Amino acid sequence: MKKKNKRLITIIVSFLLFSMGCFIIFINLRDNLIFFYSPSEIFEKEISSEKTIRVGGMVKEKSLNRKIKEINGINMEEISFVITDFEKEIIISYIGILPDLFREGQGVVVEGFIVNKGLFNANTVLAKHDENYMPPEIKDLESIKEKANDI
Amino acid sequence: MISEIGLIFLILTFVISSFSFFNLLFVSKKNNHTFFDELKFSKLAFFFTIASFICLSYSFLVSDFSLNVISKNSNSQLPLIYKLTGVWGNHEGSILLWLLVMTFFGYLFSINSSASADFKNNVLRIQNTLCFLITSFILFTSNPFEKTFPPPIEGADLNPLLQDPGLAIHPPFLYLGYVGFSIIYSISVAALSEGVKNYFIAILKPWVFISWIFLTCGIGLGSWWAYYELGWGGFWFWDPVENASLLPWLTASALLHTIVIADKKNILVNWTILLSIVTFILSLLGTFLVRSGVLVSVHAFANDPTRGIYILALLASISFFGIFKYFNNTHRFNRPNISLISREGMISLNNIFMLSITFTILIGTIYPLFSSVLFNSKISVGAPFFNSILMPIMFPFVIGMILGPYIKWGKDDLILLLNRIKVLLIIFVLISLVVWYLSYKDPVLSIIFIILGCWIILSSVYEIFQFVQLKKKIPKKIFAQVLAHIGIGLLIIGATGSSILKQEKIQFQEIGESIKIKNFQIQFLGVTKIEGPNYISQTGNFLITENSKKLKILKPEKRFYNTGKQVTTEAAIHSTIFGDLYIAIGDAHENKSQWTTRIWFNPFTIWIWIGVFFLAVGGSFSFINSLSRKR
Repeated sequence: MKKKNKRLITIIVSFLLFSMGCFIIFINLRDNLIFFYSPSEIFEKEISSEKTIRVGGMVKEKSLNRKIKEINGINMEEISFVITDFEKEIIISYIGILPDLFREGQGVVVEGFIVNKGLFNANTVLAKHDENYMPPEIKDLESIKEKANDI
Repeated sequence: MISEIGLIFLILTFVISSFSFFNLLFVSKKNNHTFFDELKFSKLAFFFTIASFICLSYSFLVSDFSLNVISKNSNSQLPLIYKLTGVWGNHEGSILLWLLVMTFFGYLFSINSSASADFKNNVLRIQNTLCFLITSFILFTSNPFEKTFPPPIEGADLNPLLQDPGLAIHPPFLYLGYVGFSIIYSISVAALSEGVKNYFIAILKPWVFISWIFLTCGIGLGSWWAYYELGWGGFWFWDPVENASLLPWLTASALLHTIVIADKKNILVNWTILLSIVTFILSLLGTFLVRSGVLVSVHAFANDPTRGIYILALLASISFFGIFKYFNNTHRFNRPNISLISREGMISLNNIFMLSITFTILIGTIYPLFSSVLFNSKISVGAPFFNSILMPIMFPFVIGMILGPYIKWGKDDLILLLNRIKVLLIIFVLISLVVWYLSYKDPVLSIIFIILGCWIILSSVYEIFQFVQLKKKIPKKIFAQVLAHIGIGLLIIGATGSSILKQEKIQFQEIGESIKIKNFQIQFLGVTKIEGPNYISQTGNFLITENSKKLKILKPEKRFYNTGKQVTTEAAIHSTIFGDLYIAIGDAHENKSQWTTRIWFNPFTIWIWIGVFFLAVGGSFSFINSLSRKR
């Protein structure tokens, strides 16, 4: 009888610990999810400017602009370019080195914060790893582009 | 011609292994040794697969562009080594390598293990069935010998990111680890069918160690490759692909610990079997995540949904088979009574922590996939999630890791234990003061983690010291444990340094201009154009001066590959024991006198690689020990 009680207690305690663990994991997960939006969705939805988000689309042709900016006494290159989903456009501003595969007229995903509806501050520009590879998010846009071209 | 022979060999593997498959399905109860000699099947499957692999390698070497894979992933201009390593630089070839490793492990088991002929036969039947499933996957969805017509005159190129010596060693090591777990799965499932006799633990042991060593090296090499090749200044990004390799590593590490008590005390035997099965399932899950194209990564060679579904079906059936066997054959052991303050208790605690970490990483990795399928929402889980959960777990984990080896088997007393290690505790206080004095300006978190790392290393060294003091010979298994734990300590220090303490400077640097970071002056001397075998490189020249002493010139590159019109970054790294100076070069300004440069100082990064080395050497001692005990 005593042994049975002990086992029951063990099971209950481990179950409680396990659910507590799951609870902590999911709370943390919810706080750290990074949502992906297209430029149109940025305009449609209310998105907090404090949350890290990702925006993806095509880099508009001839929109890449580099200028030198002094920040804290260091010369930095501020890069800006326009991302489009062929409906809405958003200007991305970024300081750093662009990934090797960044090109105008190709898909890109950036991570960072919204400044206002038309301007986005990127911390990271995510690169595709391979010439022929398309992230699924951008693949959707490719088909939009084809449609746009058909019209 | 050669490629057709390769295909024939592959089909022969398929035929041979299919015997085992049907044998397992229909005749599984009574073995018929005269016809179904699994040992022979294993040997044949291995020889056929290696012959097939050699044929494919030969076709790559002579650039036979009539093969689809070669025309897409190789080029006649490629240096010889990349033609050869290109064999597994693509989906089809890499799965063939996977099969080769799998049959290799079956072959090794057939000639080496001390198991009885009957048990061997049962294990190899399952192993050959696994080979059959993989071979069918290759033949039906990813045939490397598929022809393309008309054959192109020149191939496209091997992805320039893969044109690196890293490709020669990272995938084979990783696969030897991943696929090594297949034999562990086979042994465990066979043991279940036999009604779990304990002697199988001794048979299982060496395979667990050897696979774990290779997986450790494979992950370490991959991380090192990413560190110097990608030019992002980091070694771990909580990328789903990285996580996928970490999952089986974690459960295998848990397995390393339980198998010791299962062997010594004959407890937690069922748990050991379950861990073995789960480890291989996680290896397969990793393969599914990486190879199915659901993840965006350099590892996702192909984006073919049929392959994804096929791997998913393989994953489901192999998991189901293992778990089904497990639940049908357990409850054969008395429930052990384990007290927490005992070596057994500490090892159980280790397993709980390891599995919590595994579970966290698993959720963080697959949740985005689920949500994209179920809710069609596009999300990703960032590094903060993993850090916020795993960092708090690290504290009790490390404390357990330090105390564990000093706690006695059976039952121990906490007060007696602390009394036994009081010298060590004094050393802990002293080292903490020293670390705090040296780095009190740094973030508190980094100080704590570096202190924890030092504690692990010192407590492990103290273990050895006790043996030396008593003039006793140090047993191999103690040596193994000490080395592996030191490795973890070094890893913690290295990872803390190169993440929390990392310093980064991005700027527009004029030729001649100097940038200061830590004690280093980095003077930009200009850019030279250099022609490589199949690329043109823009090589930056940076003069490094430390405390006004000229050290060396670092040469980070930006390479333009001619064939694929692709660019890669080659970072230049100056490693010291205190940290790495890491330089990457970006684009030039219009006037060509200013370039974007990115300079990092990553403290203690070199200790990560040394830590991995310690882990591998520690594992090797366990491996040798498990072999010598058997004879």
